[in-house]
Amino acid sequence: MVRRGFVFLRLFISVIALSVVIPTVHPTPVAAFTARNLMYGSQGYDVDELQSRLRLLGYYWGDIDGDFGWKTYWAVRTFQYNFGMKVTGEVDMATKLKLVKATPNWHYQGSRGGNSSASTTQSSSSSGGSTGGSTTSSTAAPAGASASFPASVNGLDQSDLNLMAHVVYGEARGESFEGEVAIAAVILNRLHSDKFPNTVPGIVYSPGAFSCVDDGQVNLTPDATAKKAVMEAVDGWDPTHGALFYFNPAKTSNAFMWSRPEIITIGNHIFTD
Amino acid sequence: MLHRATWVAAGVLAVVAVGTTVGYWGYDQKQQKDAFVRAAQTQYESSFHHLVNDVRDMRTELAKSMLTQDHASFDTHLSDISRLCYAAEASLGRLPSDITPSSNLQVYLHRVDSQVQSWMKHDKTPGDKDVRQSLNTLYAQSGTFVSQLGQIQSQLGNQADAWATGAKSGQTVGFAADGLRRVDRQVASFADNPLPQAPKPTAGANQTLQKQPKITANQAIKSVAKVAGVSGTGWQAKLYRGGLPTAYFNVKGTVQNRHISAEVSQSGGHLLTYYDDRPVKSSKYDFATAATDATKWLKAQGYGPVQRINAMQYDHAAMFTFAPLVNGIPVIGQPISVHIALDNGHVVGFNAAQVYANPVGKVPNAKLTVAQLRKRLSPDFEVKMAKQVIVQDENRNYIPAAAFYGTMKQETYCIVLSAIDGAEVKIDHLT
Repeated sequence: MVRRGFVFLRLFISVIALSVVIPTVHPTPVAAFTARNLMYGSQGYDVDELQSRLRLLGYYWGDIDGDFGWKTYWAVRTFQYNFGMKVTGEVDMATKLKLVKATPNWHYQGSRGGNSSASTTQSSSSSGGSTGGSTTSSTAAPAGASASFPASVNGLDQSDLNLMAHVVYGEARGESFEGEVAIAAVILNRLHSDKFPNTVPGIVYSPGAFSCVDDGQVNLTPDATAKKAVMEAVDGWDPTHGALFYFNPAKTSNAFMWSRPEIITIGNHIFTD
Repeated sequence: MLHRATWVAAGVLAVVAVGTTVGYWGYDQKQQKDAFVRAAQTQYESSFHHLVNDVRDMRTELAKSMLTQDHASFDTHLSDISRLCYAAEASLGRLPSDITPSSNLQVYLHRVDSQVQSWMKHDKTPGDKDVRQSLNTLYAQSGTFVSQLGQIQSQLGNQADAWATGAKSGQTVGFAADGLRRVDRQVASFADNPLPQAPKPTAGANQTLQKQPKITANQAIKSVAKVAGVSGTGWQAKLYRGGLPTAYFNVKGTVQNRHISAEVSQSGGHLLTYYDDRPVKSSKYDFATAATDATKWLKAQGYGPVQRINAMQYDHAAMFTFAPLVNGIPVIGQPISVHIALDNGHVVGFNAAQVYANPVGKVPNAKLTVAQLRKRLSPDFEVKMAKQVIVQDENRNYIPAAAFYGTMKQETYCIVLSAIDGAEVKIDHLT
């Protein structure tokens, strides 16, 4: 009798131990939309969850990457339309509640996309529990967003942006931030001019066009500031007001460069028409 | 005696051995350098051959387009002209840029390309009088430089130093480089002929701004400091384009290790750009709230009504793009950017320069409705959203248009069609 009691006791302790250990080792994530609204351009775990729920319903066909892009936008609109909601393409609390209700079998399966930082931020935001449970938006965006360029910005793809960042870093590291933006702006001005090749690589690798290409400094890895400078230029900031050329007066004796009408001087560079 | 001679011989041998090694190393270095130079010159020769062949073929296609009266064949020849111009431009871009820094030949080829593309777009026929006249002009002009380039090409294999680096100037010299320079100078005399020039962006701006009262440098500093929320003490403002209606103050200042850079128009005192280079290290602020804040901030700056047309996140900053509304219709081509730091929700970037550089003048009335234009789209394109917009056409005139957002093969595109004649204004591949 006492022996049987020990067996039951051991069994009881084992069950208790397993019920503590298993959730610790393999925690079961819960539905984790935060209170923040989502819209085109949003990033983070919330978007990751939104995409996977929409995919479960058959509305979304893209990657689960935590980036609210066009594919997510169309999926949200279609969902809103089919569920009799106002079609806005933006995800407010009503849309989230409707989505959670429509996907009762959805379970978090980890971030499957390339935006790893998006999934790393979800642990604290998901602690709020169910949809709308968390009132904080402090973990809304990925921490490593500066690591890489978007796939495409204003008609330029990631490889163009990367190449521009290499030139900016090779030509203007040590200059002010505005000075770095100015170099990126010159590349864009050339791209829009009929005097230069029609592609970013064509402009950059035109023999003699950039000294950093000639001396190999274009192959240095650009820092975050150079990348940000490229993004600012692509977004429209042109401190040079249309300059096509620039030169360092301390290092250049090129008669053509000196003959060009000066637009502005930024740091060590004179920018010309 | 013998012992001494041995030492001397050993020394001499050592010197000879070291000298031979250094000499061989130097010779090897020179050989490598020469090989690099030859490789570069071979690349230049290859590009030059391609260039000459492309422009020669382009001229042949010009002749064919003049000879044919068949509309379909005419379009094929125009398409070939466009393709060859593009190829020739690419070849030219692979030659040393210091040979033709003014890029007259590049500009000429680009304009011919644009011209024939415009003819194809507007469905011009070989019988159109203006087309025939332009083709005649282009054929005559191209004959001059095709002949000269051909002469240089014929000598390429026979003469050394076609491309060399000048000892004093550091510039590319040699008979091919010099010949190409001459051709480029000659093309300059007719580079502007093929196409009517598009109006300068400031043409409309001049009319808009010149009527507005001018501000001083101090007023410019104050307006920027107000945006930054500081006093602006010690800041500087420098006037650019003085005397012109588009003159502006470049304002620079520092606040707690942040550098503020902004531009304010002299006429009217409009804030054109504003950038704060404060590093943003985290994303605590809600993106959607930032979008609302950006709209409110624009309204506070006097911009409104506007419509948000793009949004993205980069480096802990929310970057929003707005389009101003004219009679409730968004204007594409006048983007207004607002950047919000996602650590505290403050504005760290703003750009509305294009609003003043390309003001909307009189927009002609639409002749086609959005529904009518929708029928002109490909059946492969699934339209998900359509709206009226105002855009600039190829001559940079504002026209009414319709923008269709939709998908094809699971990729998103925006197709903009003119509401005047239904012509395609542009197609953007969206991400």
